[in-house]
Amino acid sequence: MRKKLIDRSKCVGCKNCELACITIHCDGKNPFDPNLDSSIARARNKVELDNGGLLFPEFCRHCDEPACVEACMSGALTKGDDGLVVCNHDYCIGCFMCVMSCPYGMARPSVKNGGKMIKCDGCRGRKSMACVDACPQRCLTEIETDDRTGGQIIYK
Amino acid sequence: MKRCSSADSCFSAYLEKRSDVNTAFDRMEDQAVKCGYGQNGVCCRLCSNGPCRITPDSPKGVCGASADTMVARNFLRSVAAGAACYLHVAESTALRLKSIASGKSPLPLRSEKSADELARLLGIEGGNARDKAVRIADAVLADLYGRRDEKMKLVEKLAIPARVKKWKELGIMPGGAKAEVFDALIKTSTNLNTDPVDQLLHCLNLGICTGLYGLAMTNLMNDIIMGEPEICKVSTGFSVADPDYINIAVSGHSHSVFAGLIALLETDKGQKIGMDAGAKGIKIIGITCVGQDMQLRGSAIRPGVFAGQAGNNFTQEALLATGAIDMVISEFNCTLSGIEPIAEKNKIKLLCLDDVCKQAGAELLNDTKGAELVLAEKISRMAADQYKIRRGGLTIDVPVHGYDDVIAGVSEKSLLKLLGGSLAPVIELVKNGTIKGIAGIRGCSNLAAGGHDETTVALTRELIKRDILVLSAGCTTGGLANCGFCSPGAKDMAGPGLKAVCEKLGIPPVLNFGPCLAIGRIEIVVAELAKALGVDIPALPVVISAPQWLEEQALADGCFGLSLGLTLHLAQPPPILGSALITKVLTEDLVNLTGGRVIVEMDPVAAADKLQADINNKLAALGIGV
Repeated sequence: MRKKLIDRSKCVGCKNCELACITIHCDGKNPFDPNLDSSIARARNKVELDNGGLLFPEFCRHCDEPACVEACMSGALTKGDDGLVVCNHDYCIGCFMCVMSCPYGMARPSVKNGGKMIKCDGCRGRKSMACVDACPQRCLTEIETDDRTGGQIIYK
Repeated sequence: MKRCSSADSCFSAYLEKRSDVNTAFDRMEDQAVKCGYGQNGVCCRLCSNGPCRITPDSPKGVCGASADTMVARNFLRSVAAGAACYLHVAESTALRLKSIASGKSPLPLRSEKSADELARLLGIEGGNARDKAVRIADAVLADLYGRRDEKMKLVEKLAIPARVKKWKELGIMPGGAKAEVFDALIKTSTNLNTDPVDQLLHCLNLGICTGLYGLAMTNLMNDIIMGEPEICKVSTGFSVADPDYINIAVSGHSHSVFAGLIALLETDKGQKIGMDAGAKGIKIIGITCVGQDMQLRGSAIRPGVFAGQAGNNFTQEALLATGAIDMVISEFNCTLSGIEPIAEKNKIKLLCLDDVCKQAGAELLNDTKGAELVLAEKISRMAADQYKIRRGGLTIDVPVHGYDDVIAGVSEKSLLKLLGGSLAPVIELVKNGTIKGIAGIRGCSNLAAGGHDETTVALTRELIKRDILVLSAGCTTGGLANCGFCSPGAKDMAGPGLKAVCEKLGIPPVLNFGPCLAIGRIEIVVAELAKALGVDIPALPVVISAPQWLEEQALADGCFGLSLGLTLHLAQPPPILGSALITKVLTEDLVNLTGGRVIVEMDPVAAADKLQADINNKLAALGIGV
């Protein structure tokens, strides 16, 4: 399984991971043309500050027992065989129970598509993860492991 | 480690062979990940509450500035800096012209005819050529140093009336050029101007300052000092460096800074300094635009003093690694910091003649007006000493690179001479469909747009194939010449119509105007075409492209093109795409203001399609069959 290793001590808060995430989920997928209008675009990740004021790049963990999937009544959110928790937008009804239940704030409401949830799709189908590719600090790196437990994210 | 590619395969092969040398081509990979906020112009560093960046979660800066305000402010600041750079060159050229013409500097005016012609254009009458040259310099300096609320006087003499009328309508006639730059800095400081439209109009105003003074007037004054361009056959590439000579590489944009050095090296006394050190003599080699100025006006100096243009901005590190260069003199920009460790290793002396381009590892020498020949002798002796220090055990490895049949020296005047005195033959060729349009491919070279000169070369190849005549100036030309596009043989890459024209006139399909300053010459040709056809510039079947623009000066140049009403192509967007408003103004709405617009297209074939479509629309509007 592909996992994301995060060394938060290297994060400088450039937010490139956010921009990369917005970009690959935009229609044009053009790095020069992300739509920064909040009514249309939103990143599936966020660089935040922890209680101590230190930078904390927050990503969906793709939890072993995902609270969002538990809370989803339409069946839009599922955990796949590849370990990724993904939303099927055809089924999402925008009740946002997932948003309420995610302990990390990574199930996010989006105005686009008539107000459905958005979340990290683990860059399923992409050769590499967009946020990892865009990280100039090598704070994010991608590793391959047989261990399918513990979600997709490893904080160092 | 992956190395950035170059369209110049011979140069690429040399880089491959010299993997011991670290150049921009290696560092490009280290810097592969870019900051998207900077790229899109939505990072603001103006105050201690920032840096603020616009994201969907944070759509405004702490002060409340929107993406539109941030982008406009950042863009205007860049354009102001770019304008300042070119205006510095214009200023120093005017000061030199005045010093020589007034007799203070013991140097010749190589073309008094140019002084008479320029004086006539500017309405300066009476006195001999030297008197006129002094008054020309004074008129330029008066405009550059003027107050912002007093419009510059030469603008109306240099631009065609239709443009002046348009600029007045838009309120973008510039006041004193330096004051315009100064106030642009004020406007873009913390919590001042937040109006993106006002800031874009200021960019156009600075474009006019840049184009008419920084470019056009600098060229015309340098023609007086250094001689008029004449079409000639020259050599380019690394092979111009002959290890038997002391080789002084020159970098920058002010040809007349080297008036003294050239004058000295034209004499036997000057060459003897080199011979006494054990070399065959001393030669000058161009590594950035100023070399292309020397190439352009090469007919006015003694043959052999200027060896030729080695390449463009990104080939200089490799050239120094050959070991054949003994000294690098910078008088203005485009010398890369990366040459410093190479110079240290190869014991190459680095000199700067202006503190604006002072490099950490270089010695700064005073370039005092009146003492040019004293400085020239000092420099020559330093180069000779360096030659003696370094040449003993050094391995020199100059590759066979470049072309010996490059057609250079094209200017607004020499082109007319070639065509028999007027642009009528060109207009006729366009009217009868032999030539399908004209494209100015100019500006910088960068490594980002597909690799070194890759997009420039691919776009040029595509345009000439479609019978579109290419006029080139700047590092684009340095690159194109080393890829064979400025040699007569390039006709075989052109379409049948353009090829026949090349064969008849003995010219290549890409006309080499020389340095980036000569973008101003291309714009003069464009204005002359408009006059000849009796239309305004936006109506012409002419497009411009800075496919691989690099820096702030290019943005200021681009603003001149847009103020002239030209369609401007860029492979990479300027840092504006974070603002939908500004992107729309520059790519769409501007057509209704100046007549110009920006096309952003990375793919060279798609870019050629778009440029040709623009030309075809204009031909159709002129009633010329497509």
